Amino acid sequence: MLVDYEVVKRAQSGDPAAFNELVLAYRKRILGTVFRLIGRQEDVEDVGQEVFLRLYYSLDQLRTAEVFEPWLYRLTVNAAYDYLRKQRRQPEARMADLSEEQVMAADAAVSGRQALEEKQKTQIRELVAVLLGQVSEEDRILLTLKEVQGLSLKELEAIYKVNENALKVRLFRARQRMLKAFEALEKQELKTSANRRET
Amino acid sequence: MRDEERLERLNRLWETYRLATSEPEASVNFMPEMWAKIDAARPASWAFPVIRLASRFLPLAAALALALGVYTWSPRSGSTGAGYVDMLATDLLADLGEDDLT
Repeated sequence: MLVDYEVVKRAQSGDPAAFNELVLAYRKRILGTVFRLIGRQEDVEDVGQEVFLRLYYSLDQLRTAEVFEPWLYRLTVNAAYDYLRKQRRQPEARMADLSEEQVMAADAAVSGRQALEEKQKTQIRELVAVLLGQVSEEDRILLTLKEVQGLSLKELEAIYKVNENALKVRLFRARQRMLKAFEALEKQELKTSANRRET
Repeated sequence: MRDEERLERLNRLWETYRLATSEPEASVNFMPEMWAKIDAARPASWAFPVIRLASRFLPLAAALALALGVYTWSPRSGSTGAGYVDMLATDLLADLGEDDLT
């Protein structure tokens, strides 16, 4: 916990200073999570504010301060889902949109052959955004929480309200779908390289 | 490439991605804009007690509706099960019987 339970309780009783304290403590973490979930820097603050707005009006439903963090993560995931649903009709980045240079540079960075510089960081972000664009929103959010945010199975259980076995099955399937997308990208990369050698 | 190798590469990709995505800093407008949104979403002052009262009475109203439903549906003890038309017919027969006697 980034704050004392007492702060959560005071915020629940309607103390605006305590709520402010909560937001200031969790703001950075929530914005980071939102950024990784939605993948759009320009909309991160909007979605982050939506998370805290929902928190403000749902705090009275929180049974105990001990479950505050999973509760906040759940609100974050729901806000990200809603955002992604709204964006669904807009064109997403496709694998074909990545240049061969981008893919190769990202690949080199993944292989650990190069230190990460700003340009490579951008390429890695774009590569992962494209890969995550190939799987469903549910997979995208679950994988981001597990693999990037590093949440434990216990924490995910509290967020998704499912048992460990169901969660493991979901994770396995999501990883398989992500692997498939990764494989497709590699095939595309090989094909492009072969075409270039021929010409 | 075998699945394990591919999974290993995917794990490395996640690790690199984690390093490549630092947590963004909030702008100076974050807090004022958030409070403005909270205030805009706040229900009117008179609506608060009404909503609270309604939410407290909702389970009571549901329980009452259920109890009334069960009461109406269940057959009443002491009832003969005869309908209104049957009762009219019985009365008519009784009247006819009396006339015949006189």
